[in-house]
Amino acid sequence: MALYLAADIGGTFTDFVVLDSETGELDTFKVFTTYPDRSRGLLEGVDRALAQRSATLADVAAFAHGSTIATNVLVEMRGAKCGLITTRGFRDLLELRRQKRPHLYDVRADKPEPLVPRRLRLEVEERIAFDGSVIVPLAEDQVMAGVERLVAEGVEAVAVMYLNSYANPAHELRTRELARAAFPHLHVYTSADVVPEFREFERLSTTVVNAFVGPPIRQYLDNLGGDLRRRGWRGMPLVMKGDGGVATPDEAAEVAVSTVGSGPAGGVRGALLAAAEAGETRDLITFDMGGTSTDISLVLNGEPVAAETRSVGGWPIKGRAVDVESIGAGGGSVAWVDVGRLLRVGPRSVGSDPGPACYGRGGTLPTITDANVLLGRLDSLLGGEYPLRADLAEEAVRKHLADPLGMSVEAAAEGILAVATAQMEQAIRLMTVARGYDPRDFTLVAFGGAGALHGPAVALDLGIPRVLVPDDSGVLSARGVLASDMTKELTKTRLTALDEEGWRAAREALSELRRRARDWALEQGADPAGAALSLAVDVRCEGQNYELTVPVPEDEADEAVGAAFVVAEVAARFHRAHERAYGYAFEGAALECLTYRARVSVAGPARGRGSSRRDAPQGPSSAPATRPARWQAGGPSVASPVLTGLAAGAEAPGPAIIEMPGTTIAVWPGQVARGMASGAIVIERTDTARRTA
Amino acid sequence: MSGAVHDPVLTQVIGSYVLAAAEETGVSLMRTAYSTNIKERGDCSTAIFDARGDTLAQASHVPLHLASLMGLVRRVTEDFGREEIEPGDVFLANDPYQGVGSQLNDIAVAAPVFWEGEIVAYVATIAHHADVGGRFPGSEAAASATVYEEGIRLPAVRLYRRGELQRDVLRIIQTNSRVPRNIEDDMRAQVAAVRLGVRRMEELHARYGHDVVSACLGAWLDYAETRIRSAIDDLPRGTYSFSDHLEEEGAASGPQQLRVAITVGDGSLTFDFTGCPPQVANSHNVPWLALLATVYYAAKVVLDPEVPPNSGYYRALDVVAPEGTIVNAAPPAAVGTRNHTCQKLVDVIMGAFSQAAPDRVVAGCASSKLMIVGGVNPRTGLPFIDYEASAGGLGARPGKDGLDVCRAHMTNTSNLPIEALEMEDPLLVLRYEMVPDTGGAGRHRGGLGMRRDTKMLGDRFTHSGFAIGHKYPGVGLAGGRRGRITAPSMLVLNPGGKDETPLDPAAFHVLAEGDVLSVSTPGGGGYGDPYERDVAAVLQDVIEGKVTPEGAEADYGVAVDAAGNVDEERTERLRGAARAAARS
Repeated sequence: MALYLAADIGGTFTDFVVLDSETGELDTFKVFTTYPDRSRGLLEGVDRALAQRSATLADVAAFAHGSTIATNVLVEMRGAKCGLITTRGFRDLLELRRQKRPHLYDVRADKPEPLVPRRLRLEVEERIAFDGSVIVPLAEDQVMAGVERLVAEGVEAVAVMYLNSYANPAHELRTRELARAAFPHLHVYTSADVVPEFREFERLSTTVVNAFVGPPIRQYLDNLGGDLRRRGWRGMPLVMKGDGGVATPDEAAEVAVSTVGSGPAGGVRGALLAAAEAGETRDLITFDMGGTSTDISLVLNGEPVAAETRSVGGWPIKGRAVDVESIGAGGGSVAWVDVGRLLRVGPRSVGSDPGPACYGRGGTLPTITDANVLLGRLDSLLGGEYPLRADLAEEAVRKHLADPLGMSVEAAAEGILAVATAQMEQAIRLMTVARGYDPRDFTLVAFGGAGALHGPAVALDLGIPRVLVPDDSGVLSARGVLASDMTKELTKTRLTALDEEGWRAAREALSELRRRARDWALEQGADPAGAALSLAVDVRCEGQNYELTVPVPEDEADEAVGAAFVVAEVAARFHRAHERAYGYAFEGAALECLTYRARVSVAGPARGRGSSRRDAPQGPSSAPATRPARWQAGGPSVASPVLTGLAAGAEAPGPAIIEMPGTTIAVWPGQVARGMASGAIVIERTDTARRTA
Repeated sequence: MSGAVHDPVLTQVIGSYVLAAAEETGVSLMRTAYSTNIKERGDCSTAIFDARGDTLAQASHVPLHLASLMGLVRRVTEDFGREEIEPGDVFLANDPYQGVGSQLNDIAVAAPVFWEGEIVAYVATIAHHADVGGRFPGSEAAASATVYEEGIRLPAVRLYRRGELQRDVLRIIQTNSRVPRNIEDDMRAQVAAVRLGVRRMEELHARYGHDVVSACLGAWLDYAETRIRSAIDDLPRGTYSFSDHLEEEGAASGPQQLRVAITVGDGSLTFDFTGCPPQVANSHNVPWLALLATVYYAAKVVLDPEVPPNSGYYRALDVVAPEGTIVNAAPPAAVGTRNHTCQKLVDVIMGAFSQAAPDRVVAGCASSKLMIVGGVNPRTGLPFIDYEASAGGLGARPGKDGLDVCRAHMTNTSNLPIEALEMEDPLLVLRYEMVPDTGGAGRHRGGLGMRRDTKMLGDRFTHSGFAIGHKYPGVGLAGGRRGRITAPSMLVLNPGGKDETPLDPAAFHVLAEGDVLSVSTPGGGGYGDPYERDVAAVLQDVIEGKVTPEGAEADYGVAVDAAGNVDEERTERLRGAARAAARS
C-alpha cells in the first residue's frame, strides 16, 4: 500500500486528505487543531488516517501540510528574540521605513512595533557600492563583538542586512560564517539568502520577519519530524509555502517567511485541481468565503497570479506568493448601523464562538449567516446535522438593524447581503478590471463554508457566466497541498540596459540562476532534466521606479540565440504587459532590466496519482423538498426546491438550494445548476444576454 | 425612489461604489504616470463630482489636494455653455486664481459623464507636473516673488474635443516646460484615468438608473454631513484661538505669526484666520483652495477620520480669511511653496482644537527638509537631479508618544530607496538615522527627527530646496515643549570635519567632489508636562537611545546613572525642584 497524506492546519480544524495510490481512493476528514503544539493534532490526524486504511507509517509514501503558524507568530508577536547587524549609520532603517505615516487621517495610528528593538540593532563598518565593489571592507572584529553582545543579551536569531548586498553578498556571508563559527546554535539569516533583491527597506523587513518567525517554525518542524522518526517513518514532512509549492522542512525553516499565506495558496491549488477535474479550461477567479473573510485570487493559463511583495502585520514581505485579496466579509461578519445611519457589514466578526445569532450559542449580533437564514437560503449546517435558529436571527436583525433603520426584517436581511456582495464585487473588480481583465472571461470557483452561498450572486452581478463548486470544498486547501509541486524561487538584481550589449550581462545573470536551479533540483533528488524552469526579468522604462515582470523562455537565455532578437522579444512582451496593465504602451522608450527571476519546480510526490476515484456522485436522496426563500430585493418569498446533491448530468434550475456536506449552494433565478462527473456542481446563466457590471 | 427616502442599504452600496471608483481612478493614474513624482510619490488625486460641481468622492494621496479640484467643474460650467460641452470632451486648467488647484504645477483634468443625453457627473484628476515653466527649474521655488515667475497659467481649456486630442493646446504647455516629454506622458495618464472614472459612472447609471443614483448620492452627501455635525455637537461651545510662528528664512521679512480662532457653533465650525499677516514677497502664500484643503484635512482628523471625503462634510465648515493675506493670497502673489505654510497652519488649528477636543489632536508636526541636488553624473556624462524630502518627527498625542520620522499632515509621500538612488545618481548615503533628544519633551514625547548624510561623487553639484521648522519646530501642547534639532543647522556641510559649515537650508549652494551634505530634521512637539512623564518611559527611551542621559536629566528631571539605572533620590530632587519652581 502507498498512502499520500496532506493536511491543512487551520484556526479551528486541521483538514486531512488521504490518497491510496493503489486503489485511487481518497479519504477526507477533519480533526480539531491543537494548541499550543499544533503538531499533536496533526499526528492525531495521521493516526486516524492510518487506522481508516489499516495501514502503518511504513505505508506512507509522502506527507505534506500547510499551516498558519508563521502568520500567527507574526500577528501575535510571539517570535524569536532577534538582533540585527547592519551597515554603520543605518540601524534605524527598520523604524524609518519609507517615511510614510501609517494612516492618512488617523493621527492616533502607530507604526508596527519594530521586531528588533533599537538597542539590539548593531552597526559595523563596511560598505558596498551599487555595483558590488567594496568601498569599506568588513570590520570583522566589530562583527564578532556585535554577535557576542547579542548572544549575551539572550538573542536567539540574528538578521544580517548590509546596503547593496544584493550586488555583492560577500560581507553578509562572511558575517554569518563568523557568527556560526563562534556560536554554532545561533540562528543567522542574511538578506542575500532570504531575498537578494534591491530596495533596502523591503529586503530588511523580509529578513527581519524571517528571523522572527524562523526559530519557532524550525522548532515546530523539528518536533514533528522527530515524532515521525521515532515512530519509524523515514520520510520528510513537506511544508506548503505561500507561492503554492511545497518545500522540505529544512528549506521551509531556513526561509520561514515563505510559508506565510500557505493556507490561501493551498486553496487556490485545490481550486485549480477541481477545475481541471471538471474539465474547466477557462481562467479562474477563486472565491474562498469562510467565517471571517473572503479570499479572492486569479488563475491565468493554469497558474495562480503571484505578487512579489505582500504586507503582513504592517511589514512588507518580498518573495513570490499567490496574490490574495482578502476582504473582511465572511459568514460571521457583523452587520451594524453606523453614526450616519447607514447599514455596514464587517470587518468585525463573531467567528465561530459564539458565532452568528442563529447558531444559538449565545451570539446576539446579526451576521451575514443570519441574513441567509432569514431569507430562507440556509436552515442548517453540515448537511442538516446542525439546525440554525431563524427566531434568534430575526431577533438580532430586528434589534440591531431593522428597528433602528425603520425597515422590515426581510429588507434588513437583504440589505446585509447587498452590502456584503457589493464589497466582494469591488474586490473582484480590483483583481480583474483594474488589471486589464474582463470578469466575463472567467469561471468563478466558489468554496469555503459560505462560498457557494454567495458566489453565484456575485457571478450574476459581474456577468461571470459560470460558477464551479468543488464537491469537497471543505478540505480543498488540503487537496491543493496534496497536489503541489516542490518549488524554489531564485532571484538576482542587476541593472542592465535592455539592449544588445546589456543582454550579455543579462545572459550571465540568467545562466547563474539556471545553474542554481539545476543544483537545487539535484538536491531534491530529482532529475534536473525533468524539472520545470521558468525564467523572467523585471523590466521598466529608464528612469522609472516601477517594474513589470516579463517572462523569458528558456531557449532565449541561450548564447546561441541572437541578442538583438531576444531584446526585441522581451521589449515587445514588456510593452504588451504595459498595455494590459495600464491601457497603453511607452513604445520607443529606453528600457532597463532590474531583477532576474527563476522559478524551478519538480513534481511533488503525489503528482499524477489519484483522482481516478470518485464515489458515485450523490443524487437527491429523496423527492426534493421545498423551502420558502427570497431571491429578489423586496420580492416575494418563493417555494424553492431544496436538494441534497446533484447526480452527474442532472440539472436544477434556479431558484434552488443544494445542501452539500460542507456547504450550501444557492442557485438564483436565471441560473441553472448541473452535476458533473467529477462530483463538482456547475452553475451557469440561462440567459447570457444579461446586463453586466 | 425619491430624494427624501433614506435607503441605508443602497446609499451605502452606491456611495461606496463612487468612492471606490475614485480610488480605482487614482490607482490607475499612479500606475500609468511617467514621472516619479506621481508614480512613486503619489502626488496626485482624483475626484468625482455631481453635475453641480459638488464633490461626491475624492481619492487623495496627499491631503493638500482635498479641495483643489472643487473649482474646476464650476469653472468649466461657467466658461462654457451647456450646449458647448459634448461627450468625449476633456478640459484642463491649473490657475489657483481661477479656482483650480493650489500651485501651477498641479494641472487638473476633467471630463463630463453623460447619461441619456444629460451631464450627470464629472470625473477629474489633478497631478503635480515636474515643470510648467517659469523662472526656476521645477517651477515651485520659494524665491518666486509673483505667480508670473511660477510658470504657465491655464484657464479652463479643452484638451480633447469629442474624443479628439487638441494637439495645439498640448504643444503650448509642452513648449513652456523644461521636461516636455513628461508633460505629455503624465497628461495621457491623467486622461486615461478620467476616462476610466467616466466608464465607472456610466456603469453605475446603467445598473440603477439616474433617479436612484442621484437620490442615493444626495443621501451620501447628507450622510457625511450628519457624521461631521454629530462630531461637532460633541465639542463644547466656544471660541478657541492659537498662534505660532512661521519662519521666513532668507526673506526680507521676519517670522510671520499665523493665527486661527475656531468657533464651535450649532453643528458647525467657523475657522477665522483674521489677523494673519499680509501676503509675502515669496511663494509661501496660500491660495484659497489650499486653505480650504488645510481646514478640511484638520477637521477630518479631529472630528471623524473615517468620514467619506465629500462636499457633505464640507458644508459644516465655514472659513473666514481676508483676501490679500498669507492665508488667502490675491494675484499676483506667488504660491508655489504654499505647503510650507499649510503645514504650520495645521499645527495652529490643532493648537486651537486642543482646547476643545484635547484627546483627538496631535502636537506640532511642521518640519521637513527638501534637498534638491543636481549636476552632471560623471558615470554617464548626463545631467541628474535628485529630490529628497526628509521628514521630521510627528507631534505627541494625548496618551501616546509621537511617531519618529514620518511625513506630516498635508503630504504623505514615500522616499526613494537608498539602493535605487545610488544606482541612478552619483551620490553615496553615509548615514540615515534617528537623532536622540530631538523629540519635544512632554508627558508624551514628540517623535524624533532624523539625520541623513550624503556624499557628492562628482564635482560642481548644486543644492537648492527649502526647509520647514528650522527656527520654530513643532510646537508643544498642554505644557509639552517644542521639538528641536541638535545639529547647528538643518543643513551642514562636511559635519565633523575641520571645514564643518552650517548652511542656510533654503539657499542655493555649489558643492565640490567629496563634500558631504548633512540634513537634520527636528522632532515633533511634546504633549503635557515633561516632569510628569513616567520615569520608566524615560528610562526606556534612554535604553533605546532615543533620549540621552543628559537629555533625561535636563528635559525630564530623571537621573540615569552610568549602569543604566534610575537614581531615584536625585530624580525626586530634580522633579521636586521643578514643581516648587512651578508653584512659585
